Amino acid sequence: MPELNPPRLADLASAERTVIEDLLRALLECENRELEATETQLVGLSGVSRETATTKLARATELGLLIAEPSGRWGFTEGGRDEAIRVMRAHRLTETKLARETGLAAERWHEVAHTAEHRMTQSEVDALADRLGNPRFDPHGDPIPTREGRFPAPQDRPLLDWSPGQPGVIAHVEDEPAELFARLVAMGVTAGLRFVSMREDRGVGLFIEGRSLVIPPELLPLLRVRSLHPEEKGPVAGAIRLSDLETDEPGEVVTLLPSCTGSERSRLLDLGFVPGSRIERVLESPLHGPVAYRVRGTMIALRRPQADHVLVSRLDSTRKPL
Amino acid sequence: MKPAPKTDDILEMAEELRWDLPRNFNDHLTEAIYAESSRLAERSVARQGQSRRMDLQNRVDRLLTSPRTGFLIMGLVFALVLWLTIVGANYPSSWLGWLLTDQAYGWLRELAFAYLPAWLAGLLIDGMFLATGWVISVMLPPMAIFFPAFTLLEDLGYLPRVAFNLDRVFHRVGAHGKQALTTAMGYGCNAAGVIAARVIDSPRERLIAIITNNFSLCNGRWPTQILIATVFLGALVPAQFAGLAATGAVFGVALLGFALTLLCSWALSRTVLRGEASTFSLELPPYRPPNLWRTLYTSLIDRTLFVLWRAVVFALPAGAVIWTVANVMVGDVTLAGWMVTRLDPLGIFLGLNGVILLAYIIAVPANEIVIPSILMLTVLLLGQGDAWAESGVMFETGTEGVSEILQTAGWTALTGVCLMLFSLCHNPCSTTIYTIYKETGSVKWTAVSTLLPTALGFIICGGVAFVWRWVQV
Repeated sequence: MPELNPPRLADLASAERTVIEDLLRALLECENRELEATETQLVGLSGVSRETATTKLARATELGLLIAEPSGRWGFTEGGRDEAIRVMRAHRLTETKLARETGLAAERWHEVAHTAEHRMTQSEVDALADRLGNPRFDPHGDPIPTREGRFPAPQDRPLLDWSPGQPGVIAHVEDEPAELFARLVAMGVTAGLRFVSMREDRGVGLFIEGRSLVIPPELLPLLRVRSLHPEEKGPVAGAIRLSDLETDEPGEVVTLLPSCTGSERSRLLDLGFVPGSRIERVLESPLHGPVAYRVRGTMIALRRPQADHVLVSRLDSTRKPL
Repeated sequence: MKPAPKTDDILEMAEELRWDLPRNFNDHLTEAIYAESSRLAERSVARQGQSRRMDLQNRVDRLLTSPRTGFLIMGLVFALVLWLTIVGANYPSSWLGWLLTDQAYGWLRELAFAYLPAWLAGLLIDGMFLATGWVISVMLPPMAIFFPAFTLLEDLGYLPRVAFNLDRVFHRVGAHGKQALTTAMGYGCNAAGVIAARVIDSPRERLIAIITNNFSLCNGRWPTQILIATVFLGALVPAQFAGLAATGAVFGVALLGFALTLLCSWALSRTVLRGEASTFSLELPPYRPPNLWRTLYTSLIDRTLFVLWRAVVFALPAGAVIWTVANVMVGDVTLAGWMVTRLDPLGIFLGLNGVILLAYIIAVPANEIVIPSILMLTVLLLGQGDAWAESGVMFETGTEGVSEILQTAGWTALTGVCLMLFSLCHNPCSTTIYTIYKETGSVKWTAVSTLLPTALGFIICGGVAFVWRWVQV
C-alpha cells in the first residue's frame, strides 16, 4: 500500500539504517557476482541475523528500495541500487583513503570503513572521490563504482581453481576474517602482484614477484586471482626484491610494485626508483635498521618494508651505469 | 560523410576503456622524465673520475655508522656541542648580564623613578625590563652557539647519519627516525625542536615528536641542572669527586630524558596515536664543506632570533607578574608569601616546596628565570635579604651564595634531586606551548603536550620523595 509521504532511508534511526544498508550492499554483491539473491544468500553475505533480515527486507520494500520477486529472489528498485552503490563507494573510497593517507594497520581498514560507509552522504562520497583523484581500485583490488554507478563485473576466480605453473595476478584479497587477512598482509600478499603458483604439501606455493611463499590452507579462500591482461608483462625471471640484494652486487630497478601506494609511491619515484635505474646496496645501519642504497648517484636510506616494494634484477657488474 | 560521434558515445567508450588501463599508468610520466633527463645527461655531461673521493666518503660513512664506532662518535660529537654551548656561552652571557642588568638597569631605574610613580617604575623596570634583560643575557649566547653548531653538522651531512643510526630505536617505539633530529634540536630549544618536526611527513609521527620533545633538556634548563647538581649532589661526595658527581648527575638526567622520550613515544603509539610506522626514506647527502658565513647568517636569523623574539614577548608580562606577586599585599603578607604557604603541602609531598612550585608557575614564560625566581622568593620569605631583594628584584649570586641561601631555607639533597627531576619533567615554557599550538593547530594536542610531562613529573618526584623518606626512616 503506497503511503503519501514515504520515509527516506536517511531519516531512519541509525541502527535500522545500518542493517538495511548492509542488506542492500549484500544484494549489490550478489548482482555483481551473478549469485542468486535469496534471503539465505543475503544473510550470509551481510552478516545480519536471519530474523532481523526478514523484518528489515520487508521494511526496505516498504521504503521502495527492494522488490521481492515471485521466485523468492530479491531485486533492486532504481532508488535502491543508487543507495547500495553509494554505500559501496563510501566503503571502498574510505579504505583507499586509509591505505594512502594514514598509518592505520591494514586489518583495521575494514572496520573503520564499515562505520564510515553508513555516515557519509552522497555529496561527501563524491567529494572524497574527487580528493583522491577518482581512484579505480581499492587496496583489496576491488573496483570502486564510478559516480554514475558503474563498475565492471569481476573477472577473477578462487586461487584454489588456478592451474599450477601458470602466471597470474592476485586480483582480490578478502579482508574478513580480520586475523586471517592480517596474516596475509604480514606475508606481503596484496592485490596487483604477479605470481606463479605451485602445489605444495602444506597449502599452495606462490612465487610472488621474486619471493616464494607457502600459503597455508586456511588462508587460501581469501585469495582470488585473474589471468594477465594482454598488455601486462608476466613475472620477470630472475628478479628479486631490493631488500634481498647483496652488498657489492649492482642491480637495476625493474619496477615499483603496486603494493607501494600513495605518497610513498610518488616519493620513491621522485627519488629515482624508476625502471632502468642502476642501484647498489652500500651501507647498513647499526642495530639492523634501514639500509642505504645508491640510486642514480645519490644515497637513499630505506627501511626493509619499503625496500620490499622495489623489484630489481641483478646486473652484470661490467655494464655501464645509467 | 561519416557522422560525428556523439558526446555520450565518447563518454561511454572512455568509461569502458577506463577499467582496462594498466595499474599505475601515471607512473610512466615520471619514468619518461627520468629516461629523457638521463639521455640528455649522457650526451652532454662529462664525468671526472671521482673514485678516490667516493672511496673516502665510503670509509667515513662506514666509520660513522658502524655498530662499534657509530654510537661512540655520536655521543662524543653531541657532548662536544653541549660543552661548547655551556662553557662558551658563559662569557658573552656575563657580559650581556653586566650590560643589561647592571649598567642599563641602574640607569633606567634612576630615570624611571625620577619621572614616574613608584609603582609604575617598579613594574616597568624592576619587573619587566629586568626579566627581559635576564632572558636575553641567559638565552641569546647559548642559542647563538648551539644553533650554528647544529646547522654546521646538518650542512656537513652528519645529522642524516645520526637519524640513519637511530632509526631502528625510534622505529621500535613506533616513531620516525627523523625524530632523532628533533630530539637533538630540543637540547638547544624545545620551541625550535617542535618547529623542526616539520621534517616528518606522517602527521601521527610528527605529533609524537612534538609531544615528546619536552624531554630534551633545553638551554634554559641546563643551567638549573648544573647549578643544583653542583650545590647538592657534588656536596654529597668528597670534594675531589664533586665535579664528577655533578656531571654524572646531569648526564643521568639527560639520559633519563631520552629514555622518557622513547617510553612516551612507545606509549603514545600504542594508545591515542595508534598506527603503523610510516615510511622512511632519507637522503644521505655526500659530505661537503659547509658554507660557514651563510650557515651562521641563516641559523642566526631563522632560528636564534626567531626563538629569542618569542621568548622576549613572553618574558615582559612574566616580569610584571613577578614584581606584582612580590609587592602586592594580602592582609599583612605579600601575595607571594600567601601563595607559597598554600603551595607548601603539595610541594613538600613532591619532595619540593611551595617556593619551587610558585617559581615554576611564574617562570612559565622561560625556564631561565626559574632559579632567579626561586632565589628571589626564598630570600623574600626568609627576610634576610637586603633592600634590593626585598623589593622583589631578581638577582644572581655565586654558587656559594646560592648554597647558603637554600640550606638556610631548609633544602636537602632530596629537594635538589626532585628539583632536577621536576626541571626535566614539567610543562614546556609558554613559548614552546604557543609554538606547539601554531604547529598542530589543535588545543587538544597542545594540552596533551603540556599536561603529559607535568603529570609524569608529579609521579616521578612524588615516587622519589616517598622512597627517599621511607629508606631514611
